[in-house]
Amino acid sequence: MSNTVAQNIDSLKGWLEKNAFWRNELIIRPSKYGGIGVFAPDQMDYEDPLLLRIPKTSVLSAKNSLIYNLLVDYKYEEVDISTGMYGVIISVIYELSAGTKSPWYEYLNSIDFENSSVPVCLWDQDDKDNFKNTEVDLLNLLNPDELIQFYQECIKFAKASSQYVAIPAILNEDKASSAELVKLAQLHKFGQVVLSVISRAFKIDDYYDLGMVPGADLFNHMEPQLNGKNIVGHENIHFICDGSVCGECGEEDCDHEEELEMELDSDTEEIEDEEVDEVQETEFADQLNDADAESIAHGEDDGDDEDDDDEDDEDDDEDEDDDDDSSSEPDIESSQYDMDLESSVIEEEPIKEITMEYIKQMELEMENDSDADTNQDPDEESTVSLEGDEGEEGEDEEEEQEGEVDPEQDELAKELSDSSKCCDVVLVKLPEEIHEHEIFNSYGNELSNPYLLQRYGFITGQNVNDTCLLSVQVFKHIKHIKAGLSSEKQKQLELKFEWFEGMGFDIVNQLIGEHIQKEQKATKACGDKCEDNCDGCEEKDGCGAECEDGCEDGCGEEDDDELELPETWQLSPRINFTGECTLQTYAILTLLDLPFKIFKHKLLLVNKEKKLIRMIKEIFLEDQSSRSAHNAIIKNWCVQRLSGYPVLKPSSHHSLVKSMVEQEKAILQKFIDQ
Amino acid sequence: MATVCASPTCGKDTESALKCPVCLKNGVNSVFCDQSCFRSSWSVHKHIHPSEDGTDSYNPFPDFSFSGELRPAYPLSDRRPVAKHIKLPDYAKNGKPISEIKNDRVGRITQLSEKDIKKMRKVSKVSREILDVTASHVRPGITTDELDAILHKECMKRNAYPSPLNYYNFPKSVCTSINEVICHGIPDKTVLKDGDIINLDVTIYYMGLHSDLNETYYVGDKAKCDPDTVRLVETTRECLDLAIKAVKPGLAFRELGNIIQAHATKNDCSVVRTYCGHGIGELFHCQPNIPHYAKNKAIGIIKPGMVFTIEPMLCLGTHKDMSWPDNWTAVTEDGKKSAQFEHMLLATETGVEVLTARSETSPGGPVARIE
Repeated sequence: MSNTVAQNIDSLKGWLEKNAFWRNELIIRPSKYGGIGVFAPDQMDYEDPLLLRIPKTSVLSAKNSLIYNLLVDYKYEEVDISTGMYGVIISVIYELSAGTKSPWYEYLNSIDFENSSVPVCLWDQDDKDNFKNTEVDLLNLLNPDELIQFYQECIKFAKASSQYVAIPAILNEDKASSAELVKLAQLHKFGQVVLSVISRAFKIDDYYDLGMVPGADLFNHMEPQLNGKNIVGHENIHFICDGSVCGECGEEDCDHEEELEMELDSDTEEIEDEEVDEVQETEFADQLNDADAESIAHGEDDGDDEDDDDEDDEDDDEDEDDDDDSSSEPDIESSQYDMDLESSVIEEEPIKEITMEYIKQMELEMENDSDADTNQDPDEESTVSLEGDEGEEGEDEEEEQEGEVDPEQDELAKELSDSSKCCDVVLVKLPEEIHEHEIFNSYGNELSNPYLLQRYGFITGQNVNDTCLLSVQVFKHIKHIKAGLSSEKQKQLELKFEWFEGMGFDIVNQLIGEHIQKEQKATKACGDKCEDNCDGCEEKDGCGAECEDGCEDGCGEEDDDELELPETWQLSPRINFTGECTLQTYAILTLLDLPFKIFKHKLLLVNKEKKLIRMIKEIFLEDQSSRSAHNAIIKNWCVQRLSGYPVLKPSSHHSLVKSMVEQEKAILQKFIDQ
Repeated sequence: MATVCASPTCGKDTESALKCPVCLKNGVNSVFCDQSCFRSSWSVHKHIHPSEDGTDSYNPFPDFSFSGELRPAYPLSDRRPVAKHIKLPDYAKNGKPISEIKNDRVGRITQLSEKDIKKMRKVSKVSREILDVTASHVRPGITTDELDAILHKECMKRNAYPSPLNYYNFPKSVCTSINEVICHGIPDKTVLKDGDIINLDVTIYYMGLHSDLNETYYVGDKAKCDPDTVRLVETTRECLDLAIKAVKPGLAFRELGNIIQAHATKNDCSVVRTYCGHGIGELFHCQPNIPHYAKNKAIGIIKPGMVFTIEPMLCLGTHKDMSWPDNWTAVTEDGKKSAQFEHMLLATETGVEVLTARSETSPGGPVARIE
């Protein structure tokens, strides 16, 4: 990670030793990929893939912070600063301000906030001028309004809470208007914290939401690569955290869902949806809250979610039974619970009298049940050992006899033994010699350069996720066509786009999604064969030399499922990294060409969904007769966009902007040259 | 006639005629809704049955390796009845504090209104009286069950519900923790002897609010003459006092553990880490969570109107705790003594009010260390 302070790594390691399990043999040193990186030593033992395990209670999240009750009490004016990325940022500001009194002091001290870069929306005007016509500009990532609004809310919070907690220096500001604020050095310091946090935060789970995970954020980013048509991740580690916990209390098995169900019945889902919508209102926050989503998702989640739910439901049912039947021992293991239950429910007819014989029999059965229940998961226990080398065992015992076991270590061992209450960093792919055995994470295998820049402050050369938007050119084109039409035909055109926006585009989008996925599956280099070979790719070295590239296709199920489709038709016309134009672009051109009569009868007036989908498929996807005419138009758009880049003037980030512009130009040129 | 099901996780009225035969033999009517109520509560219910060999008291867990000298002395007495007119907390019937479970970890720390503060003061005073009356009977020769009976009667007299009763199915009305017991000891036939220390942890539910306090008492003069015992008890008392002194709006809850641990370490005592202070009010236990050890990650900052407990548990030996098979009694792993003191506190605009403060006539109190 770029803004890690090398001199303070030792104290960070000290923190990790006290608060987490960290593979001590890992080397933390400067990396040519940026700042500090994590490297595997020559004689690394890859048998155990676990590199870091940290209790969720030690993650620096809003809910774990000093000020959480103040955040909850605070009545915000514009933006809710108690949740999501905002919640983490304000918490970090206060924990920083608490200095050595913060439980995260050693960790925070290892981050060089003062020399961090600021979010791109706070870059100076020369840089912003140079960004004109780039994706960063077109996606509105240069606008600082949301950041300033957030800053203002933080200042208000700080004032409102100053009675209880001193105002942190960077929030000690009286300037009210955003015009004044934007010029302030204070805002830049604030921006430095913002970017530092965004670039390091992970999604923990539904309860903790986002948080800073000491140690997990040390790893540098390795960009994905293109294999045929598929984008393939090249990261060595995955951040894994059980996200399917109760949002209310953070536990896996709790009574909250049951309670809520009882109270709200079926309304629960609706309410959750509304909440989600609210969050999405602020684009900036939304984008931020997505940060590092890649590190958690990793396939299994999505696929298994439904199954999990089902299981939960079953559990709930059983719980209810428990209520009726009752059990006497509060801390009894739930499985034993179930056994008692089954035996009582299944076997027995109601009885009229309890006899001594009955009790004897019952006690016998209970004894058998508890015998059967004393098994522990041996894997769980062995995964994490704080003792270090096995050879030292003898010494440890001695220590224990003398009663000198550090209470903190003892407690930590207990916490770490419950993986459901921890976050893990596990190795999924061996580090390679060509990278000096540096161990990489991926900050997001779907992130294009503009979003890498926004969230992490850097871009990569040859980013396979990059695309070039043609929206501006498309709008111009439509406007131009419309201008030449009679008012009646203009209305017809409007009607077409209304229909497209309201219904047509979603179906087109979905069909295209299905089409792309089919194509991807077909191009898989070693598909099934590999899946068999390295079923356990996650586990350890299954992914070794024999099946190299192909293997990731087989094992990286997540790539298939998480195809990203443009959210609106306006954002859909673009050129992909490969120089191909999105199929949505052709769809827009087809819609423009489509005679109104055909539109009306084949699309607009069709009520049956099945038929509509068939018609859409026919008209927009299967009919490729006008492809070459369309390609000519699109080429022209590319030329137009190419001519929109300004001559770059000297600026602080001149070379980065230049690299971005050149990459974009290359993409546009690829289409033109085809 | 309808009776209440004897299963502590049920508590429903029932017309059933299903009775425990062992209880019947002893002239007690324990009615269960059906055999599943009976089966599921058997492992706890049987604790009120007298021993099979006719002895007065027995150890129900003969195979368990106890860490110290103390043993449970069963049978437990019958669950004490609560007068019909007394307001019950939600868990009284089936043991499940639903409102607490729902409120768990929401992050908000309640600030009491003026009106509730006045009520809280009254409830606190009543709880102090009840503790004091009960503690005045602490002497060599009395059993913890007798203390429980006294406390229960004092609660009934004052129309208060003894909060521990059936809280997660705790069987008695008060926690009595002797010597190596850190907390949550169950009153039974154990006889106090000269040289013991005993903690009485009292919580009552009255006028819709809980009030929680505890103190450790020396049993007889022998205990007051043992330098280590006195050092432990007095250090614990001082730890609580020091922590209370620091309480004021703006203090981070996580600072309290630093104060307690520093004083404990200075006096060569260890601090228990498993059990914490807590918010209290309409709920027995709620936010905030207040660990008593140093460098903890407690969440939140004190604001006026918050009510919470500080209740450090210190040990002469290891801080490590283990549970007896009754799933309640927490003892030190090395069997050495542990002491605890608890007050319920109200954060005020300028500092703190000790809601459960001692009166001039309160039994117990500090004794001088023996050098």
